[in-house]
Amino acid sequence: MKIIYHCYGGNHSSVIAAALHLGILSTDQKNPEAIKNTPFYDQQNSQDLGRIFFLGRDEMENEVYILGRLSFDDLVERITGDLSKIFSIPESEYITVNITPYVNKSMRFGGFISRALGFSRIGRPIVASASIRVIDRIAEVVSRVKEKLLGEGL
Amino acid sequence: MKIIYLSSSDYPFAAVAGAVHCGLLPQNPVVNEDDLKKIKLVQNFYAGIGFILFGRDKNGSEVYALQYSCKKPNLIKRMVVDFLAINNIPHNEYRLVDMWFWNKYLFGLCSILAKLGLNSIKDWLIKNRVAKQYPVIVKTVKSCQKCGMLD
Repeated sequence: MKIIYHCYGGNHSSVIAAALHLGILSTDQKNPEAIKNTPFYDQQNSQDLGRIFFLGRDEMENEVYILGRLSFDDLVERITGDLSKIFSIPESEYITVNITPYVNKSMRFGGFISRALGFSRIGRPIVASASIRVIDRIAEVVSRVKEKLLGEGL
Repeated sequence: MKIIYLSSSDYPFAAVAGAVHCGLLPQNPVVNEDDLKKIKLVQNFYAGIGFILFGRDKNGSEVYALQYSCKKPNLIKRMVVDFLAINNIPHNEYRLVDMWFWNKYLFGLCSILAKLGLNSIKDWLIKNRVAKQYPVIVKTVKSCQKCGMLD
């Protein structure tokens, strides 16, 4: 089973979700340094948009990925669905999870300064601090995903 | 082998390319409106319907058209390639042909007309753009078919 967490830039919220899923981060680690040190956190640029990056395997051997897709969140479902039909990929083989609804304004602001304007020294601490405020909500989404995986016996 | 024509705009260039590839539209550099009407271009191939399977070409390859309304064609292309890669679809099982012709003003205009419900003007615009790009579409299809014969 493949789990693809996706968000606007594939830099922050989807990375946190994937890291929580894999146990790289936990809700106990509410400090900006731990978030900043997460692999792929605030690292991707515009050329990485649309790329699906592998973060690791969870305890059930599911593969966890992240994806940045700008505001085209509806296209993720459509593209994966269409390709699944064309190439006979079972739809039970993957899940796509949109993390954008859990992003707050400060994360957007910090992310914009860091990734769009390129001032990561200023933007990264802002987005990391703001990420702490949403980590519990993202963790809830991740645990729902994990419950679903367990429920399906995957 | 699957041949996938990909269009990331409101214009059905991928669908037209698929139709040309499978012989539903002529391989002349000029297309007349009757030919386009025959395949119900706008009704069948307008954006928002995901993918179209045209059937098999002379070499036995399955021909598809994928169309997504998105101003970032490279993002779509990367997503398609990476999604297939993570699902272990070998690169030699498909050929992705990008049918992207950039014209930001007309691209936006088509979306605006669709939102305003001015469908007859939008349809006219689509037909006009397809007719204009038709020689390039035919050229792209021919080179793709040539590659298919070499495979």
